[in-house]
Formats: sequence, structure tokens, C-alpha cells
Amino acid sequence: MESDEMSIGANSQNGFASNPNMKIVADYNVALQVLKSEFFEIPNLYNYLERLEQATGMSFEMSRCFVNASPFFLENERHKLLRQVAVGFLSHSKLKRWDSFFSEQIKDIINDLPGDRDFDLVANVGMPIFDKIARPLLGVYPSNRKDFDRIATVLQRMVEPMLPLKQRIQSEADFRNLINMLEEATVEAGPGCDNRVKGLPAASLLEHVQMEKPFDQLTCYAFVTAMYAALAPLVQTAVNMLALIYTENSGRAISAAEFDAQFDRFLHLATAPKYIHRIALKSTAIGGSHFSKGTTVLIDIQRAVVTSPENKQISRHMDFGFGTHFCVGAMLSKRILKELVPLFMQRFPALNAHQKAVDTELNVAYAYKFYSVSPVAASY
Amino acid sequence: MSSQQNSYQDIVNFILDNVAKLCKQPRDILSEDTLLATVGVDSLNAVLLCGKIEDEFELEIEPIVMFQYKTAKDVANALINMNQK
Repeated sequence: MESDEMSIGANSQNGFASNPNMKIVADYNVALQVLKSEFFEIPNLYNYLERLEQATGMSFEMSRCFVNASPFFLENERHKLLRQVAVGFLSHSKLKRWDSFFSEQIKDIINDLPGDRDFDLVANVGMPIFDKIARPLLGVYPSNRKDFDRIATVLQRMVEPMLPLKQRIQSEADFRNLINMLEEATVEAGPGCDNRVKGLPAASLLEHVQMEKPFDQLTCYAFVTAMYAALAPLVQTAVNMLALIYTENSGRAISAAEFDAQFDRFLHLATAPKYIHRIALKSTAIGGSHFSKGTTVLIDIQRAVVTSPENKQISRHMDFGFGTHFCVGAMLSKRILKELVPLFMQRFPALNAHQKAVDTELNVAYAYKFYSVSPVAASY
Repeated sequence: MSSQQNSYQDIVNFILDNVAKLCKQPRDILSEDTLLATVGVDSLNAVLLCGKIEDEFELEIEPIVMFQYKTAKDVANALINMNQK
């Protein structure tokens, strides 16, 4: 496999570094203090959308609804409650019930890959994670799955610090469309039926939130859609990890034991999200770095690490965020990657990479648009 | 003045007129060398300004350009270069 052009963590800062209102933090200890400090908060996207509405006279009602129903933004009571639901649903004990289901779905994904011709790691390995795992787990059954996935799987772009106005307007229409597709499916399924699928090991997240918490239907739909979209980093990380392993080993797979031993390193190097964002609420100095009030802090996930002096391995990192905003899907992501990647390597001991393209329009994550490979026949 | 210079001056004036309106600054304190971030061009204003440039000049432009190029002069030159590619 030829060398990888993605250069994860090496650059891709886009214009952020040249923006005086933005500061990239690459030191782990400074990053840690920023994340622990009460003087830094998560960017208030809701408030930004309100200001955008005032300035343009346009409505971003649905975008605000999604921000309000996503457990990743803000820290009000509603978000805490939604986060509790998500954390509880994706806890170790709850995920355990889905164990054999996940294994079956992962096997399907790998077995569906052609053994004798080219395929795309993004379309054929990454994207099916949405359909085969995220959809049943979260209960996301829209009237048109293909259209829904085309929009929902790239919602991640909405959190970009400066999305062009035209794209913001398009996102607003997309959000409305996504909710419509979920509502239509509920109507088609008949009253009292929330698209439950028989034969699943436990209630989906949608069923869970509808039963457990006092949220209206719109909020429930926006919540599960946001959670569905939030699996994009897992999909991207899975592809990055496969690309990384085969590239590092000249197109060959490694053993399951070797993968296990190096899992944390692979995970760090393949992690898709680029930054953790915070806003300075007041002018503050941390470890020699000065943050003016209003500065957007971008913690560089690839570079803000602590390396052990003994074995040069990364001993501390922020691949899944930190503290109260630690990634709610971290356990699920590791669970999927630890099974999917070895199974893939078992099926494909050697691969040739053909065409690949990094998604350069995506400023918030390292991701490929496509990564075409062909299996190499085993030689005896 | 060449047509390219006309375009350059049009873009610079358009940027500065709109920066004055968006950031509530007197137009006469703004020049082509004014650092846009220092007169109030933040993320929101960059997005709004780029939306107006797109409508006026039919050029697709990412808001981050306002921070990469810092002044109206640099932004205008960047836009002209982008348009020529």
C-alpha cells in the first residue's frame, strides 16, 4: 500500500492558526487546565444561531432545535438530562445486551465485502456501521433511509466554527427534512408504533427516551438524529485505522495480538475529530499562554498528548474529550473497533490501495471521502 | 485604471462599506490596510460578510478567508486570485 497523504495531526489547521480570535493549544497540560477551568465554556452554538437570525432576519429554528436536543452542546438542565439518557443507554451494562447483535452485524459488514475485486473502505466498511449498527441501536427508521443517511451522516459539518451562510441555510432545510422523514415513517407505521423492529435485544435509544423522559416527539427525533450523526467520527476513525495499519505494514494486516497490544496507539493516530473547542469567558493566562476574552480555543487532539519517557508511548491523551463532556459513545466506539478491525484483517491479510481522497472540506475531522482497495490473493 | 484594478477597488470598497455597517464603525476610519479583526470582524460578521460578497460578486468564499488574509486589501487580492484559477 502506498504511503498515506493524510498526515494526521501534522497540519490541517486550515486558517485557524491565522485567526487572532482563535488559539490552537497543543500542550496537554495547558489543554487540561483549559478544560477544567470555569473560565472556558463550550461554544454557544444556540446563541450564535440566535445572533445570526437577528442579523439576517432568517429563521434557524430547526437548527436551534437540534442544538437544544443534542447532548454535546451547552450545559443547561435539558442538556444534562439528555446526556444522562445517552450515558445510561450507552453504559457498559446496557451495551452488554447488544453484544451478540453487534457481533452479528460486524460479521455481516465484513462478509459482504467482495474478496475478488476493488471496494471502498468508506462506502463498504465505514458507512454500513450507520445502517447495520447505529440505526437499530438508536431506533432511527426514516421513511427514506438513503436520503436520510446522505444528510444525517454529514451533520457533523454543522459544528464548524464558521459555516458559510449558504451552507447554514441548507443545514436548516436538511434538519427539517430529517424530522419529516422520521415523522412520515411513524405515520406510515400506524399509531402506537414507533418503528420498533422485532428481534432486537433491547429497546432502542428512541424508545428509551420516549419511555423515560418528558420530552416531546420533536425533541426525541432531534435527539436520536443528533446521536446518529455523532457516530460519524467512529465511522471515520474505523476507516482511518484500517488505512493506517495497512499503510504502516506495507499493505499487510497484523495479528490480532499485535493489534490488541497497539490498540491505544492506533486509536490515537486514527482518531477523526481534530479539535476540542472552548471559548474564553474572560482574559486568562495558563502556563505562559494568554487567552483574551472571547478567544476560541482549539485543543489539538493529535498533539496535546503526554508521551512516556520510558517507552515513548502516548500515556495520556484527549481522544474522547475530557470530564463532563467525555464522549458518550467512547465505549461503543472501542467495542466496535476492537471487533471490526481484527475481523477485517483476518479476512484480508493483504490489500493494495488504489485511489483515495481526504475530505479537505471537513475542518473538524480527519476523514477520507473514499479509499479504494483491492484484496491481494494469498500466496502459498 | 485596468479592469482588474477596477475589480480590486470595487471589492475593497465593498468589503470596507460592509465592515463599517456590520461592525458599526465609521467608514472613514477604515482603509484597505485595516486589520479586520481589530475593528470587530468576528466569526458571525465574517460569515455575514462572506454571504454578501458571494451575492455581490458571485464568488464562493469561506468565512475563514477573512482571518487568513486579515485586511480588505489581502482579501480582495485573494478573491481575484481565486477567481482567476
